[in-house]
Amino acid sequence: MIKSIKKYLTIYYMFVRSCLMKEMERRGNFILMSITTSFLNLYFLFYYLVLAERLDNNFLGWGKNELLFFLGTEILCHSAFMATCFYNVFTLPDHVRTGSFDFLLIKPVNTRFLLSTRNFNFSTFSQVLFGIALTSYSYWKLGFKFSLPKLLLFIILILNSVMIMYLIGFTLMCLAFYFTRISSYGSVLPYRGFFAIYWFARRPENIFSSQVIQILTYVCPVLLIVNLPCKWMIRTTSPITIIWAFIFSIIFFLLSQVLWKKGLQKYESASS
Amino acid sequence: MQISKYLSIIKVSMQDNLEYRFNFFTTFIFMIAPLAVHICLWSTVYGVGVSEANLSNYSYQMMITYTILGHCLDKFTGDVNLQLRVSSEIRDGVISKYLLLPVSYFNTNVSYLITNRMVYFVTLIIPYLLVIFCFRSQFMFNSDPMYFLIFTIAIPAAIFISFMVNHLIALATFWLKDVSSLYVFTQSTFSFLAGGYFTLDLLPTWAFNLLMHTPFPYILYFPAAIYMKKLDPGQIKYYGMIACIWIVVLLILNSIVWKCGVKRYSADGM
Repeated sequence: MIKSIKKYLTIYYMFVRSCLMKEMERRGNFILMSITTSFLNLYFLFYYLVLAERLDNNFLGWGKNELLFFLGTEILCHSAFMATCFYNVFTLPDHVRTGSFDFLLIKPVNTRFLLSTRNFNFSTFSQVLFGIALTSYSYWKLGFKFSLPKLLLFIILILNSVMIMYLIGFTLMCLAFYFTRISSYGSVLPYRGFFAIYWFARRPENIFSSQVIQILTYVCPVLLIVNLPCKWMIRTTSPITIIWAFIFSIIFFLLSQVLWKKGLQKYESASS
Repeated sequence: MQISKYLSIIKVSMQDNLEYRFNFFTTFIFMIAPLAVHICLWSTVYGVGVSEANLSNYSYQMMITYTILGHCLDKFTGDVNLQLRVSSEIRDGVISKYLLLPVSYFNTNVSYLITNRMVYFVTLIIPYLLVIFCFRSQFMFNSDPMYFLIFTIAIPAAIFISFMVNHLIALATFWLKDVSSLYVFTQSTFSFLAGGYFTLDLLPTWAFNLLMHTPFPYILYFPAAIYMKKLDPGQIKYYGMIACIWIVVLLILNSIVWKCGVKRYSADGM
C-alpha cells in the first residue's frame, strides 16, 4: 500500500515536473496567460467593489472586506481546480471520441489516475498567489486574529472544494462513454454543464432564499464549494455542514467510480 | 451579381448552421444559470429594501429587465466561434483560397455572421420569450414606438461592432501565430466593458463617460439602455454618432490590418 502510494506520488511529481519544463519552454505564453487570467479576477474584484460601494458597504449583510475574502476563496478554489484537474478530466470526451483513450488504457498505471493528473497548468496556478494575497489582506482588514487550527481546516475545506469540483467535472465527462452518438457535442455539453452548475457556487449564499440554500447545501451541494470554507473563516457554520462536506465527497467519489467502471465497459475504442 | 455570391454563401451557411440547432438549444439551457443567479441576486438585494438612488435610480423592474435583456443581447451579438475560426483559418493556411477566389474574406465572414445570427435568433427567441413570460410582472415592456424602432436598429449595429472587434483580434494571428490563449480574456473583457457584469450606470461617472467613447458599450449597454428609455433623445443622438464613428473606424482598421497581414502571410500548412 505504502509502496503503491509512493509510486503514484513519484509519477505525479514527474508529471508536474514535465509540465513545468514545457511551460518554461514557452515563457512568453506562460507570462501572457498569467496576466490575462489575473485580469479576469480583477474584473470580479471590481464587480464586488462596485457592489459594496453602491450598497453602502452592506451587500446582504456582507461588508466590502467580507466580499473580498469571499472572492479570494473563490479564486483559490477555482485556480487550484483549473491548474490540477480541468485540463485533465475535460479531455476525456475527446479521448473517447477519437479512440486515443486506448493509449491511456495500455499504460501500466491506474487509468483514472493517469487521466486525472497528467497535466498541470502553471499559468492558472499562479492565480493561487492572487487568492492568498486577497484572503490574507481582507482577513487582516476584518480584524481577525491568526489561528493555525482554523487555517488548517480552511485549507482542508478548500482542498475538499477542489475535490467536489473535480468529481462534478469527472462525472459529467464520464457521460461521454454513454453518449457517443452525439459525439460532436461530447466535450461541449459536459463542459457547459459544469460551468452552469459552478455559477451557483460563485456568489455568497445570501442571494438565495433559505429553502434554496438548504437544497444547494444538502441535495445538490454546490454551496459546499466556496461558501463553506469562506463561512468557516469569517462567519459561523455548523459542524454538521462541515462533516457533510467530507461525507459527500466520499459518497460522490464512490458513485463516480461506479460510473467510470461501467463507462469503461461501454467504451468501443472508436477509430482504432 | 456581387451580392448573389454572398447570398449563395448565406444559403449554404444556413443549412450548415441548422444542423447545429441542438447545440444552440443546449447552449441556452446551460447559459440560463448565470441569468438565474443574477436574477436571484438582484431580487434579494431589492427585497431587503435597498434605495433605488444608490443604484443609479434603477427600479427593481429596470434591473431585472436589464439583466434579462443584457443576457439576451450578450448571446445575440457575440459570435463565440468567430475569433477561434478566423484565427485557425489563418494559422492553417485555409485563407489561401480566399486570396484566389473572387470573394472578399471579410464579406464572406459577414455572410456567415448573418446566417449564424439568424439561426441564433430563430432558435433562441422562444426560450427567451419564455423567460420574459416567467418574469412578466418584473419585465418592463417598452410601448414607445420611436424608442423601440431605435432599439431594433441598435441591435444589428451591436452585432456588427462585436463582429468587427472580434475579427480584428483574430487577424492578429498574422503576427502572433496563435491568439486562442487570448480568447477567454478577450471574451470576458468585452463582456465586462460592454455591461455584461452589471449595468454601466453603476460605474463612477468618469468611468462611464470614458467607456462610452469606446466601442464596447454599443454591443450591449447601449441597446438595453435605449429599450429601457434610460437615455434621452439628445444622448441617443450623441452616442449613436459615436457608434457610427466606431463602425467606420473598425471597418477601416479591419481593412488595413488585413492588407498588412496578407503581406506577412506565408500560407503555412499548404
